Amino acid sequence: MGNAALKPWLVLLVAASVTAAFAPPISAESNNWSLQDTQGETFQLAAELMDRPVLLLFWATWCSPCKKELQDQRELLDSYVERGVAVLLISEDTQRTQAKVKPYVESRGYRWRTLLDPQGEVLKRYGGTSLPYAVLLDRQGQPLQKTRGALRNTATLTAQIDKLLKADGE
Amino acid sequence: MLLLLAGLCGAALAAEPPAVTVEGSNVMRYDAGEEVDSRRSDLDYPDNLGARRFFEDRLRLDVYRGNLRVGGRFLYFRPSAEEKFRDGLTDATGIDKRYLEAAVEPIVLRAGHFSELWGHGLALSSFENRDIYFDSELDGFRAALNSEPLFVTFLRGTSQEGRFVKKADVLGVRVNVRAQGQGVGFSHVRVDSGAYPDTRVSAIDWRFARGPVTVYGERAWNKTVVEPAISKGHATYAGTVISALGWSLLAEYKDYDYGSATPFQNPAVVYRETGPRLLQAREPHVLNIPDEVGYQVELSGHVVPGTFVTLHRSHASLHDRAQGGLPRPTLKQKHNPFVEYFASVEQSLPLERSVFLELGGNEESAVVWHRRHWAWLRVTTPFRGGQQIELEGEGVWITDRARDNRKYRDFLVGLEWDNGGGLSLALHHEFASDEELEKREGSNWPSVETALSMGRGQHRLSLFYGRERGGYRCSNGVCRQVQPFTGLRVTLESTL
Repeated sequence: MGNAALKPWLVLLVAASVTAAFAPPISAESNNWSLQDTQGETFQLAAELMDRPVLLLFWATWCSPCKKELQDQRELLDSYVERGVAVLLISEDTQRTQAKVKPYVESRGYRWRTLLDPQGEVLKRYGGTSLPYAVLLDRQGQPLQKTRGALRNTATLTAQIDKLLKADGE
Repeated sequence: MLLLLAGLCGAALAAEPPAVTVEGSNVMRYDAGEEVDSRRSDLDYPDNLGARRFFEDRLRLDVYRGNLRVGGRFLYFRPSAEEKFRDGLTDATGIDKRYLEAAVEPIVLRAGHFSELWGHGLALSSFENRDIYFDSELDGFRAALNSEPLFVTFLRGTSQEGRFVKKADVLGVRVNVRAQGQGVGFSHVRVDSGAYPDTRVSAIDWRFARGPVTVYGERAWNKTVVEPAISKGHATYAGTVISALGWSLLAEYKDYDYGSATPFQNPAVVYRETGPRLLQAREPHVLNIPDEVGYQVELSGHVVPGTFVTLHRSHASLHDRAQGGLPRPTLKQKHNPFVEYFASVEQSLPLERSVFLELGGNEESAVVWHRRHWAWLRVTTPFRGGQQIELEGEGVWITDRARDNRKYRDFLVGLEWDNGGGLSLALHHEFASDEELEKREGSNWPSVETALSMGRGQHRLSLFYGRERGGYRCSNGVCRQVQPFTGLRVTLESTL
């Protein structure tokens, strides 16, 4: 920002910041993000939350513990989906390995929607620094639980989901 | 100007709702022990060791308030004496990344640091990886219009002077039209002052899908001005994925002939970048972005339920200018060929047990001229309810073709226990029969590592004690050589 050549843009940014600050919020703060999925469609969390709890599973095709977690917890994750939880796989593969995401997910038969986060922006947004990483969002899209490492002890996660679903009288 | 910006944003933040949300993370790492000192390269192990003291803490915070977002990172960094000497790393204390982002639908404006990826990275890919100290993130301004099906981005920024990336100004614009999973993008990037020659890259990328078939790719043209000459180059990346009946076929082709490229061009590698640990310590193939042609083919799927197989082959080399027609990789030694193939099987067994086996081979005549074959086995079994035990073994058989076809072997055995409640313990032992390696860093690398998750997984504390082998650490085709290390490593990762 110290670059003198950028000053005209800073003026614009100031104007935009003020406008943005006083404009109606587009969505509730940190859940205002969008990513492309493996089908090339744009997924916008705020627009597609649909008042559901969301479980974000950050992984990558080069991350063995991540792939193992998906395989080990497959039945459990499917049961969450059946109960109304949106399970989203968020691939941290960069453009170097991104092409392997779709073949991997499809050949495994995973039906969870898979998003691409090649810049790691969404991972950083939820305070993630390593993989695997999981974040449970409540119905308003606010983080309720963050888990570093593989989902081994799922009792706490299931209890949180039970609580979220019971609040709506599942 | 910055004061004005801060004042206005402060006033905005001080106003009534919407509420403020703070997200953050902290990563702390401390090493205490010994590492090979490159200033003592005339001595054999262990006389070539020097003390290693390393400390890094990265605190990242992002504050959200309605359509405004502001954030940054505080870095406290004390590299080891060896890293200061060999890699040119320096002590750092302070805020090294910061940004302000404002969204006024459908426009998002950002000032400060940002990373960016356009298409498949043939024209622009700027990112940071702290593990290898690669940082091509830009500090400047970015404006994005996100109005599906039209996406337009304009950016201007300056990279930070570092080990792999030098200071340079980057200017770019991208127009992307996409809908229903298909689209076309146009990018133009100019690196017009700083450490690199005046470079302009224009690219078109595409993605189309119909039924089980997806095709995608990018073609870039670059022009580099090295007064008084102008060099022109090009790069092509194309791929297809066919998925049907539980099987997927991936086929990709690369023809990177930039002639000269800056660190802001970072295309797909088109080979497997991560595999068995031992291979990583054996000078893995590193993409030569200015000049490399090749392909990879990978078939994966279920043979029967519970049996998942992967078959892979990749081949890359420098361009053979004597060829006619479509550029293709060669096996001629002077073109540094790299060929790799492997087959892996993952078998699910009753009682939630599983077995993974991979057999593979590769040959490269670039940095080294090695022919390697490997076997990689992993067996996992539940243990007393929620606990789990994993047994791992790797073997690599190497023929060093630059040293009269001398043969040697590397082995690894590992045992990991996970209590299912956030505590794990891993024992590893690597050993090698390479005499040259033994002179440099010994022939045995035992280690023990324990990790504990705390606070519902929000914090993870890891303790490593033992010997860690040297070798290359790679990410996105960029590799950094890591010295062998003996001692204690403490890592604490926290989500705030």
